[in-house]
Amino acid sequence: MGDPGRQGTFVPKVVVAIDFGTHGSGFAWATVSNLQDITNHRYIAYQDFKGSGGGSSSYPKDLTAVLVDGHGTPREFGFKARERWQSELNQGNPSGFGYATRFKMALRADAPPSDVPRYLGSLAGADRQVVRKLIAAYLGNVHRTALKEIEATGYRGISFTADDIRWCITVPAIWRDSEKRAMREAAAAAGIPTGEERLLLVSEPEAAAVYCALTSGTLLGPQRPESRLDVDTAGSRFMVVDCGGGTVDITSYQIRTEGVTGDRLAEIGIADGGPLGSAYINQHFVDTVLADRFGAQELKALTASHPREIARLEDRWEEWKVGLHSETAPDGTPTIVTPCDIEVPGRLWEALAPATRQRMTEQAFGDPYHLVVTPEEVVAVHESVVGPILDTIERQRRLVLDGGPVKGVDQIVVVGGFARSTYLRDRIAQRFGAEVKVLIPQDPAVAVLGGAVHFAYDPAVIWGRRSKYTYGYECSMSYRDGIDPKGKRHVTEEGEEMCADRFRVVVKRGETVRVDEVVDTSLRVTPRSSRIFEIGLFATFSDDPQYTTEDGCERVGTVTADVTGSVGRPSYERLLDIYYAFGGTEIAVETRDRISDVRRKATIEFTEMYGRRGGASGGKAGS
Amino acid sequence: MGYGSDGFDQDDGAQRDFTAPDSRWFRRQDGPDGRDAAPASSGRKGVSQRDLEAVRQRLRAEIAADVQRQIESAAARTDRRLDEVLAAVRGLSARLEAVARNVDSLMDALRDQGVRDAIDGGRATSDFHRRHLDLAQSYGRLVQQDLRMLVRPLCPRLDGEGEAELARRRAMVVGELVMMLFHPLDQPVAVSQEDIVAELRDHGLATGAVQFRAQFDAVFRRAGELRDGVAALPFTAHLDTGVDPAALRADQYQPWNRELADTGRPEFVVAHAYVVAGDRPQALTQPIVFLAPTAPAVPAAPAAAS
Repeated sequence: MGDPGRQGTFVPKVVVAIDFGTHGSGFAWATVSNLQDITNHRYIAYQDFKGSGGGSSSYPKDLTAVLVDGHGTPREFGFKARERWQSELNQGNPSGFGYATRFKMALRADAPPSDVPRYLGSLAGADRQVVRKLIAAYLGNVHRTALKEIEATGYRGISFTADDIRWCITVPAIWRDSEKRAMREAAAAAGIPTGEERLLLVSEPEAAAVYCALTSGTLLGPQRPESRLDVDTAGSRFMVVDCGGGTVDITSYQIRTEGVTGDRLAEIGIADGGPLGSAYINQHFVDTVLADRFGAQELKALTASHPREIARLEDRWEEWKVGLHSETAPDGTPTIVTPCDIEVPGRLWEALAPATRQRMTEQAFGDPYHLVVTPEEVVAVHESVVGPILDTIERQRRLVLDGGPVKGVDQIVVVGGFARSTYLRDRIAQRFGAEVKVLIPQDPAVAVLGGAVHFAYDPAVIWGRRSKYTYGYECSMSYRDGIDPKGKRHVTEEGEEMCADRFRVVVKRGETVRVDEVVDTSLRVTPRSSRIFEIGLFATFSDDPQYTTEDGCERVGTVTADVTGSVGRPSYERLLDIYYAFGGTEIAVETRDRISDVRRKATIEFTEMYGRRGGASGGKAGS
Repeated sequence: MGYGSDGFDQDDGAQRDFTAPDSRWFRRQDGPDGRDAAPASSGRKGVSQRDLEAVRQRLRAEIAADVQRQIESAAARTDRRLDEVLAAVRGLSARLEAVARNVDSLMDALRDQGVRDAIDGGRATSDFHRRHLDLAQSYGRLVQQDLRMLVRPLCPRLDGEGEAELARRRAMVVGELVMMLFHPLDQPVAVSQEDIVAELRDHGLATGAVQFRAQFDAVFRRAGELRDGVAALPFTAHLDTGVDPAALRADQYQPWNRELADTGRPEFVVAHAYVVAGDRPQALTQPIVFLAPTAPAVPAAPAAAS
């Protein structure tokens, strides 16, 4: 291991966050510097916009899609993959391409049906092994694109490199360790460094919470003032409602009652909201509006004979739906007043029955090739999903409330691409606005991504400070027959069998440590005649060191205690208290003789696991 | 402590003159056969060969000791000099490391500034672009949805007017409305709603239709909000009015009348692209163009029979 006191923590110069989503994925990044430390003024860059015909409905992300050739080699990603696939499909897919989308959640063996992945062409029937490869390929593309865009911002050819970057990938709150491991493996296969300090995984709702706490949003209600998520009131609870394309995920948190340092957020409830994403509004659109216009049987036939045109019709509905503006009725109920006009692809229009075409043309004021959806139909289609979303939020609130008395303010933050729907926001505000604070960030679609950047910049914002090493001191402990080496055995004046060179742990690697936290221990001084007592201070990467002589265990300091006050006494009367006081970058180790109250001090370096600036003297770059 | 030019330390009195041993002890004389001879006169009676030998031995020992001391002294001085050189080298190394760290910090600061410049100048996509994208998408929706709906009651079918002519006329009206409502994009709306309605009326359009008035209120308000939003952002945005529709490829525009998407050719622009200024101007929407049907190819006349 080398001297832990001299090994620097990795100090990133750039942090890159990847929001890998079921429907859309994107990345954003920020440089690390003194100026950027101020969160209000932190510059965040996003990946260049990817469009699909002049505007992205998955903004600010690219589509999570991969196109592979007949050999299974990835050829295109994102919207380009979809466009190329449609083009190949148009020609009958002569080269045997394969297309996959919505495959993220297939990492889970028990993935909810709401996110049924699509594997088409040569990828039909893909198994989990294939899914992992697809994820690795997609992440690899994101990785390369991010490096390229970062390099492009260089100053006269001087730019940040891959070695300067800490990566962060978002994962759903419901993922278990096995899925997270699989994601790390996929990232490694994608070329992303996966060391503990180089790649962080952050839960999506936590990232969204960070974003809402650090950036201004709007409080939904009659006045709509600016506000932020309050994370400073101990004991208060809030709920993150992440409305995506496929699912609505609801996670509840409580700010720890013992304070806001250390681990800030205690997760108190997760609800997989189920198939309530905006994609299900689209499904209802097809099942109700199109069925009404074309006829149910005809729709079935057209879906089989004109799948691309039906899909295009869905896309156009989606484009309109995203920009839907609801108005507020006098009683506060959100409503739609504008009809929706959707162009019908020519081939599909020609395939409709003449009577259908005539009826639709009249509804469109004489414009053929148009389908007009009335405001009432728009409301009904939205309510088919929005209603159950509100019920789910209500159920989760009850579960959380039943968990104990409410302290502080209850808050709901609404994030995700679907949260851009004014109709959804206004319905949530109408239902819950009187009881809780309902907050929506300025751009809910980037809440997870932006929050992940802030988190990667300073993981302590969620995780608190974590110790990079296991710290402790050298002492003797009771000899364990059959376990401790015979060579370390010794017998005290009192006849006790002891084992020398034992490592007494004060704080374990990865444990959260608050600034100004003090950990105290004590030991007995032998022999009776000793007037000073040297205590070796040690550090190691190991989680559970036994001996200070183990490989990787390094002495990082010594404190010499004055024990003259108890000379001559038996060891059980010669007690020495040892205090480890954790400062910002140092640990002050102090000893106190209980008899004489004489104190002695030493200082050793404290290294955070994800320190932004690394250790003080031991840190390499950036100090 | 200074050093003499001979390298001896002048302060410790260690200087010795090898060539001039103490004359109290002996003066060498050559005997007739070249060997050491007893002094002709030592001034002492009865000095034996043994005594002389003893003196020589003592002298040798003293000289040897003296040489040894000088060697040790020289070695010690050499060691000290070496230590000083090593310390100087270490100091230089530490300074070099400090300089290297400073250079690293400066380079990082330059890189960081490069990124900030890229964001400020618009070369890198940032929060500013995201806000523009929101506005651009609103603009696109207002055109494709609201103005499309609005123009129907505004432009009822004229007697004998065919579908193609009606579609074309409506598209042209939308194009004029786009310019009235959105140009110049980066400035607040300068005309009143009534001014626009009056102009439309002067063009013979049905501004009195109930559905038109109801929808136009909302459209005018949202257009105003959009332009206010653009004006409030860094990097201005504008409508790209300089484009030649005939020169556009199929992947460079959005068709207004999609039924001709596969067969038509751009005839005129209905709504220009929303372009964000900056070091790297970005078009956030494509121009929306009206497509005219492509004239069917005239079959070649058959060759005359000979």
